Amino acid sequence: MTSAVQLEAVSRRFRRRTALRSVTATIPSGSVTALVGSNGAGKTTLLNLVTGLLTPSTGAISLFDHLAPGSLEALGRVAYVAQDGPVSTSRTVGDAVHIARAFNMLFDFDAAVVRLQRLDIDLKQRVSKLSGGQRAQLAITLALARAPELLVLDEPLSSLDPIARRDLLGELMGHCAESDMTIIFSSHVIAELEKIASHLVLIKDGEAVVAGEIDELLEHHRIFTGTATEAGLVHDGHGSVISQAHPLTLAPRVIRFAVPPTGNALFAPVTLEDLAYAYLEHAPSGSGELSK
Amino acid sequence: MTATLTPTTAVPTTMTTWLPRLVPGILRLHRTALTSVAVIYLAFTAVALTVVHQVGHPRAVILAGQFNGTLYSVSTYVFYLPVLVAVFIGAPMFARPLETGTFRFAWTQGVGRRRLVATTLIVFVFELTVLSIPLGIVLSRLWFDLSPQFGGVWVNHHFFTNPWMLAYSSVIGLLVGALLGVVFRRVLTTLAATTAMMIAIYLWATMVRFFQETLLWFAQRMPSSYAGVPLRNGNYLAHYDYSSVNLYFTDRFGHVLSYPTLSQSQKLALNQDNASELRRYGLHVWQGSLFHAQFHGFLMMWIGFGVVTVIALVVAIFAFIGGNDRLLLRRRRP
Repeated sequence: MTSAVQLEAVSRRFRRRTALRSVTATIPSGSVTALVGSNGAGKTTLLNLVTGLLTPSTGAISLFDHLAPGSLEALGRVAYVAQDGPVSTSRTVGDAVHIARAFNMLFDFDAAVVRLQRLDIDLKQRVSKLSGGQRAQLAITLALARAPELLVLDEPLSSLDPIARRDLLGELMGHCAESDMTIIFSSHVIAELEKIASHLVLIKDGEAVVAGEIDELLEHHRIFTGTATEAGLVHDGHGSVISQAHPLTLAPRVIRFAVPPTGNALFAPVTLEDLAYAYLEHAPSGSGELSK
Repeated sequence: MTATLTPTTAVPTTMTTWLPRLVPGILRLHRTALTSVAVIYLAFTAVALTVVHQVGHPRAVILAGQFNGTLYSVSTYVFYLPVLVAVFIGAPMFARPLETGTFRFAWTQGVGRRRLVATTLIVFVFELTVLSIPLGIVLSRLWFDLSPQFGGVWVNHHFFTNPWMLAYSSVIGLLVGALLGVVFRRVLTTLAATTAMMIAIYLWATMVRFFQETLLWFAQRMPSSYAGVPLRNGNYLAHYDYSSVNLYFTDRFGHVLSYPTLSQSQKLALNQDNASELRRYGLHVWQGSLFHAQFHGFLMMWIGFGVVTVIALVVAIFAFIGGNDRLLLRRRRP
């Protein structure tokens, strides 16, 4: 399987602050990768690096195995929906569609108009008059109309209502199935990631604490349901404790196994939400084992 | 429910493929700014044309006097058009998208940010040039044709209202504002910086001693006549600016011989009775040629604008070295 994005020890500094520290990860083509992390963890910085808006301080990024982010070849194949200020607000929706068509040789104008009409977004309305959700939908429409091979979405769900979220996720899944599009999106709505995402990258304090295929990650993690006495089992080299959910009993909660135990009543399957919270709340920096 | 999205064209490789598509998009994106520039320049041209038309009347001499004030006003305002272009068109051009975040949309489109930035600038430069030239021609023609009726005023024609100077200063104003926007990335900060920069250019060209000395260097190489006004032995060129009056004494070829700095009392005496004051310098025949400060600065305007543009360009480039984004530099290949 070819990779859509390859990050090799990528770091990014902003003067005195380090936003990303030595992130190494591979995002396979055709995958849907959820980028999860707390506010200020470095998600947007990572997406800006992938789209070429930023350059890494150290390390290297390649797209589709050979392209530099931001290069003409890459820009023709990558679409980015930024979190804020996606399109010029002083123009109308129709202008925005025309402008996007002018700025891309690959652009399905009719499909963009059809999608906007379906969403009841008036082409004559000024972008500045649109609601936050409508603006996000406009930006997503313009990105989808480019038929990109890699779609990068920064918090696409944050301003959408529940129905719009559900529809958008379904639509994105449809695109993935039809065109083998790779999608990377950052989100705080972890519960909804499971429905669409095949891969996960968890970022904490600028470091990727875990990355990999979600099914595989879930397979290698378990929730410990036993007592503190029984917890001795997991300290004997059977696994790595990710979170201490019961501070009084010190019973470990989410545990990562190289070889997952079978038939042990003390361990229950972990959900994506459990896993994400465990790493985000408790995992020390650098504890992640990044999959290739 | 999923809309079907099908690519319509192939990926572009040549300029002839993407440029015809990109330009209409830029026209649409910057419609307000482009229209504003066109309205202002065309309005000035229309007023000047009206004066030309009126002066063609049999009562031209009377009308010329009547429109002298209007023409002078137009020329004066035209002198400051580059400032307006710099502050209101150039400054927000990149500062606004960088501040609001819309640059993330524009700079990640398939056409590429360098093509986008370059074509945007070219569109504005083209518009300013195209609009400046007719305005400059009309104003120059007015001053040139009517200068006898306006008492031999010729400086406007020769200096800043000539088409090339007008186009040049307008374009440089745009570039100064645009480049400062890239550096500061905030609209208000860029507006303030651009205003300060343009004021500095104008002041530098009119008031700074260094400029006056440089002007002397140019004056010494000036021809022995100006617009049909011969400069004979003992002529002088009075150089007025906002703070002083200086005299350039010329030889019989019109070449400047000396550059005395007058005391305040001498300046006062010159203003009250210049004939007797000039006799004190041994001048028995004299022909005054008035340099108004804002006019004689034309050479320095060229140089000043050029210097400032280069500085702004260098600063803009360095702003991207190790900074947030890289606009002008080549990016590293993986």
